[in-house]
Amino acid sequence: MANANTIPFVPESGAQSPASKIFHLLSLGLFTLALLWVSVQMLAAKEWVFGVLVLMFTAINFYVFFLEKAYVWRYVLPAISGVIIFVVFPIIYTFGLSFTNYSTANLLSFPQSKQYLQNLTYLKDSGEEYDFNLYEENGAFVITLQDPKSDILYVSNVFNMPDAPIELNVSVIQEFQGTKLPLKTVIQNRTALDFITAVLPDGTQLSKAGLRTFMSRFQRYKTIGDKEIQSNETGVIYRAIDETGFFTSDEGKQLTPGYTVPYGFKNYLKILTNKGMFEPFIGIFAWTIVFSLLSVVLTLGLGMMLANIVQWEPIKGRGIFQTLLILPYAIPAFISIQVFKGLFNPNFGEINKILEFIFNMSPQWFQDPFLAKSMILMVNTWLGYPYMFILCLGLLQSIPKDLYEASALEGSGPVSNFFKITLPLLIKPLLPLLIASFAFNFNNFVVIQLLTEGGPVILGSSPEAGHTDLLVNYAYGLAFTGDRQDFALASAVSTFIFMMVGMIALVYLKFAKIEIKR
Amino acid sequence: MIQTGSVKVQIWAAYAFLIIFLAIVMFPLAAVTSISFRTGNFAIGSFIPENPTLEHWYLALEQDYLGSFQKRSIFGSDDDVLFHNGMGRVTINQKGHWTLEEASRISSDYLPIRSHFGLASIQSGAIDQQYIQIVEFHLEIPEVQEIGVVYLTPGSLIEGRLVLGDLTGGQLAAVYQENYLRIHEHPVLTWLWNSVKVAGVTSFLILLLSTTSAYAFSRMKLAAKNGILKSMLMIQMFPNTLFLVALYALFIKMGNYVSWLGVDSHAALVIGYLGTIALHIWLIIGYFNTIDSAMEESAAIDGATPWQTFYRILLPMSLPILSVVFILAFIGLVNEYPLASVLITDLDKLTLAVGSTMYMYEQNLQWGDFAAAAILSGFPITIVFLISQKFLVGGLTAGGVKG
Repeated sequence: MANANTIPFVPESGAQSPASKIFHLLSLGLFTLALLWVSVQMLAAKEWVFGVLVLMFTAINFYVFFLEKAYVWRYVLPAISGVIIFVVFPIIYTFGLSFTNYSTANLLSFPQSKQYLQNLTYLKDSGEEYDFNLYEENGAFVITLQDPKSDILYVSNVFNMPDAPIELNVSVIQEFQGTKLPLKTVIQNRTALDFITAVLPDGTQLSKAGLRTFMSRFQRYKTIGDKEIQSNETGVIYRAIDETGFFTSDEGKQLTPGYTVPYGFKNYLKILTNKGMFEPFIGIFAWTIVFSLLSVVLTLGLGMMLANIVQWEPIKGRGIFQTLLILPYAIPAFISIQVFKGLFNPNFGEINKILEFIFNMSPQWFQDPFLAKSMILMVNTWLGYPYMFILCLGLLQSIPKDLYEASALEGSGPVSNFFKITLPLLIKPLLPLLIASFAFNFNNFVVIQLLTEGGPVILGSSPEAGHTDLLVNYAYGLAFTGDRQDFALASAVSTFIFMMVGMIALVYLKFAKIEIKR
Repeated sequence: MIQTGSVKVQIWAAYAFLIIFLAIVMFPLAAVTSISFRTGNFAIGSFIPENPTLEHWYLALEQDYLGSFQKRSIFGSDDDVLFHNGMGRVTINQKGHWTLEEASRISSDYLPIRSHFGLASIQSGAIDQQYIQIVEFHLEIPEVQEIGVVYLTPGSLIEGRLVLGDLTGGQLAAVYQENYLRIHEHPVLTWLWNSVKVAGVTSFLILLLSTTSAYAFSRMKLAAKNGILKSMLMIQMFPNTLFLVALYALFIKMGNYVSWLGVDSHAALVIGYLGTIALHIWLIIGYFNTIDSAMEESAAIDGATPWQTFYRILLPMSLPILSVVFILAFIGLVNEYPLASVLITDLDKLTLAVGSTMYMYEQNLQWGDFAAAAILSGFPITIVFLISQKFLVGGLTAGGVKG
């Protein structure tokens, strides 16, 4: 390999050709401008966190790719940016969320929430009714409204069926002629028509009250102070309570949507003190540890045993056994987990059919907590043993053969060989991998989500928790299922998991000896 | 090695164990194959299906399926037998008089369909093969008129009479073929393509980012490179499931300003996956470290820029590890569920991992359909893994961590 002459000769040492220099500067300039535009837009919309983040990224990126002295960093910046933007930043953001009340009920900021409430209208019983008709004009629509008392006819401009609230100005007209659309069309478009607010020349707002009528609408809440609004309908005053993030009446009635407020440690306290949360949380935590430990032990035990058997000299057909044993690892996990979900089904699943036939029993795998947990461990062992098998197979090949020959002279059998020679030699290099495997199973979201979705439900838990939930599934459930998606509470649980995983990661780094030797 | 009697027993025991174990491991695969050919969605049946059907496979391949059941109804005291045969409603009375009211909603794409019915005598549960008469229907535009075949035009009401022969000694029953149409609702092939597309593009980008950084880590002077690498490896132990809310918020915000990067776009999914590269960088560093840098040094003396050395010399020599990283990343991404399940909601944009969960809802279990779709979509990925298995083993052992 001494033909260094094949490397193309470069005339000027380390210099770029003018063309590529221009291309470099041009693309850097365009990229920077695009990012600047995005960050300015974000800052203008008062998205401080995201705006500043994009701005920082723009500056660092420009610095590294413009200045020669940062040359080395050009190779690592894209990768590091990826990790920071899509892992580190979300982790910090999640941590921050855990100190708020951010949830589907408290999604908006205070001004947005107040604005939303002010935009609400209601129909008064005593309101004026207008007869309403829908016409077609050149493929678009026109509505007419007629005051039955004064017989004044109003007509709107041409419009398309909206999918968001719009205001339509209507003007007085003597007579209107067009293709009147049947009631059927009105019914078909009733959702779109609900978005329409018709505004009379005098400013009265009307909206659809029935299939044939529009009625005048009134603002539901009026502002009476910076933090107070009053219902025009009932006269009740609602005050913004910053501890809970809701406009609340003196009787304690809360208006939704509320707004996001700092929440201090309330989410954490809720987990620790709320009976519906604390007990399930401890149970889930314990099960997460048990599940991870047993998964590592079972997959390791099975994988190591199989590797030893397949590696044993007298066994023939090693290649076929090896391929077949790896098969569960080759099949996408989301498919095999769901196959097991079907096979374990107590009503039509193959497994219960066999158990019924042989032992005349039909275990309720998804109803009984213990059985559900056993099922999960069985499935996870099926999924995970090939990884340990592959690892052990590789490590076994590096054990010198003469060790076994020496022990054969002493008359040891295969079993005592395993415990005296193989196991001690395998454990040391395996240790960091086992820790990594423990960490993986600690957060093995998919196997639970696709198999039991955490079920069966723990009685008395509120919000709902399941017997087979891992911590990570519990957090996911809090955030993405149920009526009230409590992102902040889920973030508090996530923060707890961050700490656990952080500790495992530190132990892992201690054993893994990561060092670039050059 | 001297084989004593007890060793022989141990060898046979080892074989027996391996074979029994493999039988247990393979059982789910065999079962799901069998289920994909069984009739109906909750099919319980023998391992080799009695009436194998391609229904589930048609649906998995995004084809509609026109199936039929053979049924029979024993006449009550003096009731008529009523049934739908897929073309319309048939009423038949004990005297053999029948009417067919055509009410088919089957689109003309599925024509012609055929159906038949008749009267038979049932003797101790079995049909006496002495059918009196069978009427056959074709729902199609008639070209050839066959004798004994009734051609229907949409909207017709037709009737006729079957001649009752000697049906004494058994129960009188109507025997008929019931047709049904199943429209495919899950775009399995689209999902598979989405998965391959997202995983392919992402793996390529991951390869690009991780080789360049591995080059810098391995060959250049970089402040605190051990610290950076360690932190990255540590950070990667936090799965994205834990900060899905934040990622979701991030992509909502991005979508407000750069529309093609918003929620429900494959581009968002691709760049959302770019944070998980530390392990790949570590794998490639390990490989780069085994390559002697003498050639690169001589190239540098000849005036090559660091980029040229990397691109022209180091990369061509690293093809084996690059393919390992690509395949490992690809398989990992095809399997990714949490982020894809949150970011993508449009049915046609789902990845296979998320789309495949559409079959197994408690309220609407489509077990048979799932079986066929699972085999169809899981097969290519499994084969890719098994073929590249030999190369991957090294990557898995060294890549996880160094012992």
